[in-house]
Amino acid sequence: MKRLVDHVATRSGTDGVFVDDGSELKGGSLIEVVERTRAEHSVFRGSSVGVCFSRGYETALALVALDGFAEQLLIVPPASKLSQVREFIDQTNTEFILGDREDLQTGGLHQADIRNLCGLNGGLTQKEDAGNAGDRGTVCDTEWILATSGTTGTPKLVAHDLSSLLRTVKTDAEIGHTLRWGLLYDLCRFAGIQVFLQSLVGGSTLIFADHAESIDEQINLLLSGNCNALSGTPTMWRRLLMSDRFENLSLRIATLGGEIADGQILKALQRTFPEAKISHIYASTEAGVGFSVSDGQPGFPATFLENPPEGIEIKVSDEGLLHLRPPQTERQRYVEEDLTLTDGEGWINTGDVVERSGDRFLFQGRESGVINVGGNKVHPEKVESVIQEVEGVAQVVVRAKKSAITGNLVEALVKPSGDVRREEELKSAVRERCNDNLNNYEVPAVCKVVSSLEMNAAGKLVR
Amino acid sequence: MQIINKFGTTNMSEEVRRIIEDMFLSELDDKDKDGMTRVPDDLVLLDSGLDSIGFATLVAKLEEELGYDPFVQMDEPVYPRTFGEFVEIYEEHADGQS
Repeated sequence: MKRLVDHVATRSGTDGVFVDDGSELKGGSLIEVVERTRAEHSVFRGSSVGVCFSRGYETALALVALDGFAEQLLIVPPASKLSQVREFIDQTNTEFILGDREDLQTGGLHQADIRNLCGLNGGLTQKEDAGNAGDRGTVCDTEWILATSGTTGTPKLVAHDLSSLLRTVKTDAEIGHTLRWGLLYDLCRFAGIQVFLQSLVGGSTLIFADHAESIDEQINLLLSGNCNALSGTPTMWRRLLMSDRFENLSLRIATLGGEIADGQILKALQRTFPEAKISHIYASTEAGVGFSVSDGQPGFPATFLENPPEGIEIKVSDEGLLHLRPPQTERQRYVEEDLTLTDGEGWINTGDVVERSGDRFLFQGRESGVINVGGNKVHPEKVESVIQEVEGVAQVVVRAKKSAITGNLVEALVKPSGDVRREEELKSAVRERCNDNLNNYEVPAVCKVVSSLEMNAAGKLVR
Repeated sequence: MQIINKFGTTNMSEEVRRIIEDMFLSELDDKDKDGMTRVPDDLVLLDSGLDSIGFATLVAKLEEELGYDPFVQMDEPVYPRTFGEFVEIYEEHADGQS
């Protein structure tokens, strides 16, 4: 099967493939980076290699270099704690890591040898002709390993092969050549990988805006790169729409994913970009891309159950849980052996609850009570356990509070113990503890002190 | 017709504005606040240092304080660019509160 570097090779060597901070990397130069990387790190051939770069651009170069060369490619989220990286490395028997994190160099990781991707911009000759296909050293049907965040908050590793990752990528080269995709997502997340693959395999140009430090900078990168196709979470889109420069983009494609897309944001996008095709995409790291909805309405049509649009079967269980069944040829799996991804018949339980409303199904949220804050999953139990440690807190319940800005926010209800001081002091202590121990999106935006918390018949606090 | 709100004044807009300003300032880091005690209308929200979650938190806290969330109430979505536009949204939807 064609590897990523082969896809690049089918394009003209003068095609711009990536745009990073204003400079365009042409196909011919990208091939040279790949060949150079493989020659200098020949020990990676047939091995298990991890990638951990802080910026999407370096990650992208590494992915093209390693796909088809390494037997296994582990994509490590750059913000992962060192202990988490060790865990990932152990689970996958990763032997080498390409990356730019200081602590990975000195962390004394067992079996891991850290090397840096070198010579990216200096000394590259601009090759006009991508050259003949030749032997680029493709030896493997590389297994790609991505991290997801499972229902208990501990990231799980999911293995995909390239064919499952490319399942819904559009390959019409004529259209592809006219598209310039902007990357807003982290490239280590499934959504980021989908945009990257669509752009690379579709014959388009990818503009890296994931590392921008402000919305202004992000918009600058997109405008100067002439971005005309963009994918983001509803929260990202709402934020971009707060800038009056954003509507200057001539978008032809706008896609939403990662969070429930509500009617408001769909309407706002259609109004701002009347020429654009607006779609919201349902996907998960486990199942891959499920389906895409382009009719401007939230949720999905009930007809998808009989006529699924993208080659993946869809069903809703009696409890209202959305299930997907990828084609049998795909072999996604959890890396941990005692975890099963599918049931006996190949169905994946997405954990998302849907409810029938007329001729559509609408998304209601996660079954597990995981709260989606702007595309980030928050586990109420984790936040509760942090707050429980605060002196003066007898009981706490953490739940979702709907937000028109980020989909949801985290809300905490705290029952104080008998001898507690003033409400404000307690709230302040809770806030401080949360700020010190949680990610910003996990910190409760609203904290209420209550006199009692509801308990169900089993004696559990009700969220 | 005189409108007397819970603060006992008849100038509802002025009271709402002060509440919004104070709450906005309390959401900012000291560095971003930079000694500001009043917030100018032309402050560009995206430059203020408030990110999406900060902004959403501000709206949630204002809902607690004022009793309504105009972003939930609005039929046509509006994304404010400046602080002045943000306050205006609250003033426009004030009648919608129960």
